[in-house]
Amino acid sequence: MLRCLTFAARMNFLRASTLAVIAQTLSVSVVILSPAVAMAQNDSQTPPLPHSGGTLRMVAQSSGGTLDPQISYMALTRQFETPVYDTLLAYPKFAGARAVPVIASLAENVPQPEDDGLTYRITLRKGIRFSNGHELNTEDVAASFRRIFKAGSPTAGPYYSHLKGAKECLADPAHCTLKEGITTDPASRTVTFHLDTPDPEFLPRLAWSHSAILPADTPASDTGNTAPPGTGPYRITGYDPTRFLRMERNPYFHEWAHDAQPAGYPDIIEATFGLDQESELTAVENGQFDWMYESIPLDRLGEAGDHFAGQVQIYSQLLYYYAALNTTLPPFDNLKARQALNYAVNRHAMVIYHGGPAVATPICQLIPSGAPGFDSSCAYTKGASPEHPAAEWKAPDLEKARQLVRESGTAGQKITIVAPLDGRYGAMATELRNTLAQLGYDASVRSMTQAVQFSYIQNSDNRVQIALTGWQADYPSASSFLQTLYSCTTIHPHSDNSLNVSAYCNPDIDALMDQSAMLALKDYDASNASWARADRALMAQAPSVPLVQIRRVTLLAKRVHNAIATLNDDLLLSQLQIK
Amino acid sequence: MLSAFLRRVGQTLIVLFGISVLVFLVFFATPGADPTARIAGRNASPQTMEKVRHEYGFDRPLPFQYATMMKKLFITRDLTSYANRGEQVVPEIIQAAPVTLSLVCGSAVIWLIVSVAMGTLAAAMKGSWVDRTLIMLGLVGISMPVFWLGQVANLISLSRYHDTWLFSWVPGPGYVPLTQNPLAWFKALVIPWCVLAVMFIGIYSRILRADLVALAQEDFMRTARAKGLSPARILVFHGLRTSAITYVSLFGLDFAQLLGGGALLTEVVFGLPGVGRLTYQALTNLDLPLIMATVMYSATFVVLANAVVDILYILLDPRVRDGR
Amino acid sequence: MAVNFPHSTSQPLLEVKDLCVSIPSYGRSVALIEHISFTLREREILGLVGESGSGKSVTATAIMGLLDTPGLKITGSVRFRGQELVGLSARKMRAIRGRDIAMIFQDPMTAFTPVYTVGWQIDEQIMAHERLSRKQARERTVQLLAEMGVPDPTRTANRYPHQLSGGLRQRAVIAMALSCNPTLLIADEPTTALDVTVQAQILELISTLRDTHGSSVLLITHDMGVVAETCDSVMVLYSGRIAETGLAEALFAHPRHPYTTALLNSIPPFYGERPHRLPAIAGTPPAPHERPAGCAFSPRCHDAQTICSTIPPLSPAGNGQQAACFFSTSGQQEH
Repeated sequence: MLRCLTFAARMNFLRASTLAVIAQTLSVSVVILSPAVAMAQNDSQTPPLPHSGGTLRMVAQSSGGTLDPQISYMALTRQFETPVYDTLLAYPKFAGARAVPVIASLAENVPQPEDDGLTYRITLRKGIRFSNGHELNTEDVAASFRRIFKAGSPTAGPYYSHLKGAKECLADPAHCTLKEGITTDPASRTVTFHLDTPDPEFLPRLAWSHSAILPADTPASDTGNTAPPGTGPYRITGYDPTRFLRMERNPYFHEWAHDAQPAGYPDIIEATFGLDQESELTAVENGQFDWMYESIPLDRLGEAGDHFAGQVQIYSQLLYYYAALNTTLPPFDNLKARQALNYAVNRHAMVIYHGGPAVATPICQLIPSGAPGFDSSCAYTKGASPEHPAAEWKAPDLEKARQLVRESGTAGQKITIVAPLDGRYGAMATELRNTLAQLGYDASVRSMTQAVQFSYIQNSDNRVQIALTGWQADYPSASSFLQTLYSCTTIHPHSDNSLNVSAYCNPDIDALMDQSAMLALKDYDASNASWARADRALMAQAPSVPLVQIRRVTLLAKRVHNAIATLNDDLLLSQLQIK
Repeated sequence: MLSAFLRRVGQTLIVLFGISVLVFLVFFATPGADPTARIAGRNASPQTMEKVRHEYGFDRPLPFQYATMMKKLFITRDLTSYANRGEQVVPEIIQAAPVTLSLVCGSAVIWLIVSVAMGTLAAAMKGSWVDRTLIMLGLVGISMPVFWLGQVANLISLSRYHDTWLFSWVPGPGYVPLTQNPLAWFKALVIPWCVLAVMFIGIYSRILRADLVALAQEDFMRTARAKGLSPARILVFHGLRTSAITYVSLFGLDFAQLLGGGALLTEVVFGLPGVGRLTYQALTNLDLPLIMATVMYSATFVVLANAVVDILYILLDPRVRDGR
Repeated sequence: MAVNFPHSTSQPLLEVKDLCVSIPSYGRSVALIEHISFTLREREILGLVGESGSGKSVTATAIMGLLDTPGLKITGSVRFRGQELVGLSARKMRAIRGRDIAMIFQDPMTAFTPVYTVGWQIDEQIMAHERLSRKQARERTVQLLAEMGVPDPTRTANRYPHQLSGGLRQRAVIAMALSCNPTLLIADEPTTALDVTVQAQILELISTLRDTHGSSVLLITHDMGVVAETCDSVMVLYSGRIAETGLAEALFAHPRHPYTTALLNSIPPFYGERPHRLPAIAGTPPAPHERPAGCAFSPRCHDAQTICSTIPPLSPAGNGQQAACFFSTSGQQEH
């Protein structure tokens, strides 16, 4: 290129003026075009990273569900969509303490809250293309947020209803405009969000996958088996929800923020659905697949640790199991009965049922380790009390529990534990039953399949006294553990969708939680300290019995390296290197 | 002839109707089965729930919902799953059918040959140690749960002894279509065939042996012996041929229910994407459209098989022919 | 001692000497039949008479080699045309069965395999013993059926057993038994299951076999009337032992054994006053393992003496008859 220019420049002296003009025009246009050409070359041929290439084959038990990124709520599907779609902001794609809070992704900057948290202004990056070639612009952003309501995203209500006009959109999605909630300026590529009421979690929610930015012409209904075009390094090219999923490189992708959406190593990512865990493990051990989505079954943990130690991946996740106590029905409408169970339950036994201390840790509070606002404390262990909590759980205190039961006057009552049928829940349910029996209750277990149980325990019509369940946050935040599960606003009687299974409503603690949330707008650390206080305040009322926090244990094939797992995004498929 | 055929068709329709209504009612009677919350997503706002409820017609009366579902299943054939929105259940089943067909037919061939051989041998050598061993083997076969046997087979052939010459050819779990690669299709199915056949071999060899032994007391067997025929000929032409009547009718029914998706545990353990595995997934996810479709599919097979068995009965047993 | 058929001087067709069949029962060996000896000549019809349980069928099936209860013991000699059948190898026995000795059984309704046509089953027997094509075998089948008096034999051959009446079926059974021209036909109660008119026809058929096919017949029955009509000579069995043998005429005129007398007396009279009760022999025959030490009939015999507690040997009693009774030569009631 340079040589041409020099030649043309030299020629200028030797040729007639017409040629000179032509040459000058040519050289100028070459100069104008070259960055575009260079970019086109970059678009189609990102210089390949070392160790890139190959086909990553993974295997999962359940089927994929819908591919619509704004509706899909399955952890498995969201893992596929992480390298396919992007949001305005993102959690950093590396593990560690600095991995929270959110950084800029499609936006150029993380907006600061203005007008006391009622306005957020972002500037959209330039030159990002969807996998169908369409260039990202502000209209796509506005349309995507409207689509959250039109297509009926599950989090339209909980996460995005602070926007101006959101309530009208919830009531009448077909005619949703959000014209006051989102304003755009295509020339300066700015998008401004206007809120009715401050939302301290607005920034993390701009990183939440249901706000993925899609082309404006994406149909406003659940796309089902078709994946809309995305901006990430991969695009989904084939999908049969019960059989397979296939992703190939997005030819229009170039890295714009390595920490937000890094370029991918494998050329192709394939997933096979429908195998059970035992077969999955054997297949990965044999190298027939590269990664199994489900955790290693308990009975093979020893085998994996003995023979495949170098390939085992253990990483933390914000997931814990707990028993929700219905505070509106006897016996757990009595505070002392609730506290008694918290003292009596043997959390170490629960750890054993999940594979031992390497894989599980006892949890004695409502915010799990790793989430903002976590401050290790345990009120219900030997030698501790809600007024003087210990730093961590040590042992059950059966004596104190029995005394509390006596004081409560609820001994001898009949209790039914409603638990899912699957796997480890059975062992936990039996353990709980035995503990209740030791306390003098007439306890029994009622098991049902997980799909049913989760809706069943939420519906107040079913009068469930104690429900064994688990909870994983959508994104790292204290509110998704405390407010979603214990605030007055998430109680919906007679509905299958009432996540406050304990039906615990305390306006004072609700106020404390709102306060803690609001503090995040100004002082992040103070907010976390306040959340920790809310956690302790809730635990003093013991609306549930937290049991055990689980780490993920999966197996990678021998030929796969560079496993990175973040708290928000699980294992990063795009970062796996195949040798 | 025509009237009998029409009567049969009428009976079939009534049975299928009854089953579909039963499935529908059981689903909606199951507590926690209301799909609205699951479709809307966890923590969905009440407005979203309403939207879903209206979109899917859950706010309409049950008979209307039933009629709509049946129309979508049989007439327009665009019934979609609740769990995998956008997935039409009828093409899904049609796609899964060849897998189940491959599994069940191969298994049926094995169990037919082995059970006839075992049963006949045991009956011929009645009372000897051969007889006792075969019968005990049959009992062991019946007692082993198929999913356990499948897992053990996987463990041995894929995990523990995969490196030995005996099992190194065993491919990973999954299915390869016959049209794509016949050898791979065969290798992937050999062990599932045997595992599925084991239980049926146990049952059928014992049934056949008991039948043959009982037949040996019959007068016509005595006549055959008095005719001076060889024991082999008597056993095969007079014994087996007569006991074929019971054997075939039982076989027909078992074969049909397997084809309709009865081999679901085997399919799940070996990762075969057949109708049985679809049924399993549908039940786990409480996905009513898929449950209904798979149940109808299975019921159709069983009803058809009944009809075929009746016809076979007429062909095999001349005494029945004049009874009508 | 052989019974001499007045007309014949040829070697006996079937010579049974001291045939005993015992099975293990209640811990010891129990004899089903003991010391059965008789002779059958060519073209002779011998009637084997006795109550149920007397051992008639056992004798017949023992001769055919069709007994297969585990632990069974057969001693004695059965010579067919000079060849010893007891202890003969199974393969050789199968060659004789169906070809030289044929047997038909009591119940024609269940004699045929229900899934094959009558013609197929007769063809099968023919082709098992002779090298004929199916077409040739079928020709012979149709011919046989015609000889047995079956109307429309070609169509009948293509029918299934359940489509034929009892009489037709028995004719077909007999046709099947005769298909390879056996020299000896054993007929075990061939008419018991048929009604009287058909009975007569079948008996007629059987009695002409010696002329039409040259076969001898061992006719087993419990009906003295049948014996009187068809048999040349008679053998009476009681409780597994021979009670009396002799030519039919002589035996009927002068029975020499109390049992035979009682049997004949139990036939209701054709003329005269109708009796109030059918005459019967008091008591029942003993089960094989409960046989008394001496004469088996003594518990039921009017004239039993102390000597009857030892087994009476089969001894000549005049007129070619033999009887197993100590008092056989004393005059018995004329009948």
